Formats: sequence, C-alpha cells, structure tokens
Amino acid sequence: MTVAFLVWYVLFVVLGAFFHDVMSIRLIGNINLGLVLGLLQFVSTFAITAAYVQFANKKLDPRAAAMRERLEAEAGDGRHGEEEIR
Amino acid sequence: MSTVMPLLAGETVGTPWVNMLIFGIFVAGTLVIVLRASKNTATAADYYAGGRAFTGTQNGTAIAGDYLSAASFLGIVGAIALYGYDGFLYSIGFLVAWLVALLLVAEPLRNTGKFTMADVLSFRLRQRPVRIAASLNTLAVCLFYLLAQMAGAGALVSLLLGIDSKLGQSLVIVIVGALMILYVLVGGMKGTTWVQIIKAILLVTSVIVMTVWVMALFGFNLSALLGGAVDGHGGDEAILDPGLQYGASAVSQLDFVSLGLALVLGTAGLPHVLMRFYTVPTAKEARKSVVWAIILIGLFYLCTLVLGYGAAAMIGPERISAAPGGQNSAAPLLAFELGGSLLLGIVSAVAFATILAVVAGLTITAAASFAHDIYSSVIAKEHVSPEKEVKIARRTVLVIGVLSILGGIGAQGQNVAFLVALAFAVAASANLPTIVYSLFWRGFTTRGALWSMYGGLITALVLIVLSPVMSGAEASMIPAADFAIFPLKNPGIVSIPLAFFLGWLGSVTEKRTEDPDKQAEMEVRSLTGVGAEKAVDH
Repeated sequence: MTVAFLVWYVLFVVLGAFFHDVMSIRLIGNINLGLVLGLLQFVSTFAITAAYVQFANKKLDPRAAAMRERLEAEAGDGRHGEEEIR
Repeated sequence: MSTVMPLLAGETVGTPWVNMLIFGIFVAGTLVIVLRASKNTATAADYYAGGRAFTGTQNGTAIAGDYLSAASFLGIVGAIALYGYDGFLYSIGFLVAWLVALLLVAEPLRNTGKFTMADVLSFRLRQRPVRIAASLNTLAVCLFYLLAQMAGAGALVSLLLGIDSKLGQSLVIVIVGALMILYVLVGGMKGTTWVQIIKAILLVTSVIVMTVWVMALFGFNLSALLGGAVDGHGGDEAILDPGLQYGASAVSQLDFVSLGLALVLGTAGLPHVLMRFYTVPTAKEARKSVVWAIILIGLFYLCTLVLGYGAAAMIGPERISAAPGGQNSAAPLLAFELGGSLLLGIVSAVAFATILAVVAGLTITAAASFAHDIYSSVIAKEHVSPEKEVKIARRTVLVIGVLSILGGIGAQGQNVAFLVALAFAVAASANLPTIVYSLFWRGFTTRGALWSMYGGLITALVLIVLSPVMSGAEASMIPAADFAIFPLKNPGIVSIPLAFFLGWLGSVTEKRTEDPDKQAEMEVRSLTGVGAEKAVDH
C-alpha cells in the first residue's frame, strides 16, 4: 500500500515536472487536468487513511492485543514464581 | 470588490495599533493557559511528553497545529498567488507525506520509544554513537525549521507595522524569540500542546472563513476563481499550468521532482512531529492522532488553493512581491482585502501565534534531544536525575532560542515554505532511512545507521550550501558570491536515495551482527505494544 501511493504521488510529480502539455489540457472551463489530478491526490489520501483505519481496527488490533495480554500474563506468572522461591 | 491599488513605500496595511491590540490579547490569553497547565509539570515524562495523557483527537489537533506553521499559511498562499500550480505542489506533498507517517511510523514508534527519535533508533543498536548521530540530526532539522519560522514572523509583523527596514525587521525577530523562550521555559510540552490545540482550531477556522468568503465572491465557481487569478496576472494563463516557477529548464524540472520527494518523505523524519506520537497513552491513540491530523491538514491545504488563487485575483502578484515580506505577505493582504483591519488583525494574530507555538515545539524537541540523548546518555553517562535533566533541557532552550534568532535575521525575505522544504530534505535524508530500516529490516546494523544518518545529513547540508540558495542568485543568502556548483535548490533527489544506499551498504559490510534477542524484542514491541511506556497518573 505504501509503495502504491508513493508511486502514484511520484507519477503525479513527474507529470507536473516534465509533461506540462498533458497537465494543461482544459477539462471544465479554466480547470485543467493537472488540477484535477492534484485534487485526486487529496481524495486518495483520505481514502487510504480510511481504509487503513478500518483494516487496523478489524485485523491488527485484536491480534496485537491478544499477543500483548498473553505476554504480560506470562511475565506476571514469572514474577509470582520468583517471590515464592524467596 | 475594492479596486486594486498599488502599495506605496511607507504605506501600512490596516492600523498598526489595532493589529497589536488584538495580537496582545491573544498572547496574554495563551500565556495564562500555559501557566495553568504548567502547574502539573514535574517529571521528565510531563515536561517532554505531557504525561502521555492527551487523547487521540486532542493530540491530532496539536499535531495539525504544529504542522500548519508559517510555511503552510503564509508561504504556500504566497507561492500559489505568484506561481500558481507549481506552488500547489507544496500543499499536496505536505499532505501525502502523512501517509508515510500513518502507515509506517506512528504506531511502531509509540510502542518502542520513550521520548525521542533516538530512543527508537538506539533500541537494538549501540546506544552511544547512534544517540549522538540522531541528536545531531534533530538539532540540524530543528534549526532549519526554526529559521523558516523566524523569517515568517519577521515578514508578518513587518507587514502589520509597515516596517520596511532590515533593522526594524531584525528587531521584530528578537522580540518574537524572547516571547518564545518564555513560553517554553514556563510550560514545557504540556503547556505548548494546549497552545497548539487552541491555535490549530483558530487557524483552521479563520482559513475556512476566508475560503468561503473568497468563493462567495466568485459565485462558488472554481473556474471563475481561476479566471480571476489569470486576470490578476494580466491575462497570463501560465499560472494555471505547471511550469511557471520550475519549468524553465530540464534542471529546474528536476528541481521540482526533488522538491516533491523531500516533501513527501520529510514528514516522517521530522523530530518534533515524531515526538508528538509519545504524548498519547497507546499506539492506537497515536493512530487516531494521525488520522485526525490528516483530516485537519487536508482541509487546510484545500483552502490554501482557493486562498492562493484568490490572492492572485484580488491583490495581484506585483503588489504582493512589493510588500514587506514579499511572497509571505499574500495571506494577510488577502485578509485585509476581505475584511479590512479587523480581519487582518485577527488573522495576523492567529498566524503569529501559529509561528510562536511551532517555534516553541521545535525548541522543546531540540532541547529534549540534547538533554535526553546527548547529556544524559553520553556526557553524564546515566548518572543524571530526571529533575536535573529537565533543568538542562530548560537551559538548552535558552541557547537554542538565541541561535534561532540569529539565524532568522539571516534568513529574512525568503519564502517560508521554501525554507521549510529544506528542513524536510534534511529530515528525509538524515532520519527517514534510518527509522524505516530500523523498524523493518533485521539486517540493519549500527554502522548502517551511522552511515545513513551522517551521510544523509552531510550530503543534504553540503548540497544546500553549494546550491543557488546560498549564493549566485539575487535571492540567495550571499548574493555577492557565487559558489553554486550544485544546480538544484532542493537536494532531496540526490541526498535521500544516497542515504538509503549508505544505510544498506553500511549494514552489509559490517561483520559483527546486532543482538538478535534485542532485534526480536523490538519487532514484538513495535507491533504489539508490550512494555510500552504508559501514561503518568497524577
């Protein structure tokens, strides 16, 4: 995902740097392709953010929490064990 | 719409005493808040990380406040007003960069570190050399960023007071610097975070108000607004298309790409931004912070597009360039065109507070880096009490304050967004490769870290010094000399890949391997949050 949006961004920058004619194509009135692509960058940023949050909430968090609880429980047992020996 | 009148030399915009009155009220108000928040600042966790007790939304607003500095408000609006599409690249780059932070960096960082970027980098590598390098990079990035803010402050207040002389503007910078030192000494991170939050809300609100106003004047028709901007440029349609600023030659086109790279990769390497991931209780809250920040920041940058073209339409590029502060004056001038002295006063006060708060955030980061990473871990070799560490940090704030004032005087007149982009280039070269490798590559070693940090830093700095930014052009820092053998104004396209390469090269050539247990621990910690620093209870 990271690679994807970086590629899309670099593509956009390169178009703006080297392909002025393409970016200057007028679409609606004074609005040209370059501006539309630029605004699409905003849209894609918001979309990726939303997608990631959904993904993280559904998939990453439960797994991480399960692992964390297990590890912290094991650490707790270890400590109890030491106290008993003493 | 008022007729466009040329701004004569010596003519002020609005009424100086009205501006200063509104500004004074705002400053007094925030100082009160800072004083109240500072009553709870006792431990290092409080001073550096605000006790880690901020919620995701609060922190996100503070991050947005930190990020939307003078560069975003004054610099970008000015760049778009004068150069149209090429200026818009700043808005896009500054926003898309946050995806790098969100997807790669924010949560693992919160899980693995304590206060600073160096904590994470030195987790499984050799502490001392890595901490020193990371801290030096932090100081370098902060100093560049600070120069930009100071230049912005000088430009803004000079416009308000109608100060044309260099001496007067330099004096302004001295006063701003003194105020900033006061804020930081008293409040620490907790106080400045609250200032950031309030200021962020005010800034975004003012900008939205101005945007809606401008759009209303053009019938909510974007095409008409663009047409107005073209008229402001005397009928020249070039501002709608890419290339007005960067299209002249193949070299400048490459410069455009270099700038784009620096912008998108720099954010996740900015130390003062990274530090804000530690002011929340958990990684999930860190994620929430970034999401909320993205929303606010995205909204803001959409508005800059309208404000930039609006300024071109309603004021015109000649008047903007001629005013004190040059390009940086576009936004305040637009405020005056829309709502007279009152709106100018409010907007300027908000912009000024923006600069003040960002400067405070930067100073805290740099001071924390020195006190925590260099002094505590290296000079005094871990025998420093947390209270003493805070004392050292406060003293460092004083030194950094003075340095930034001097630097700001030297940098006055340049477009603030452009100056900030240099800081971004340094951050993207010196910090980002190391952060990414450290979090995601098992084979990354201390030598790789040192090579990429120092290599990235030195390359970026040297290339900046040898570029037209320093010498050889009218707008350079030293216009009289010409040692500009490097043609690009932004070193990103060279220094960033080089730093990545050096990081890889350094690691594969090192025979000794890093501690595999530590590496495994870091992987588990960064992904699950086991053992992460918890919030402080009061």
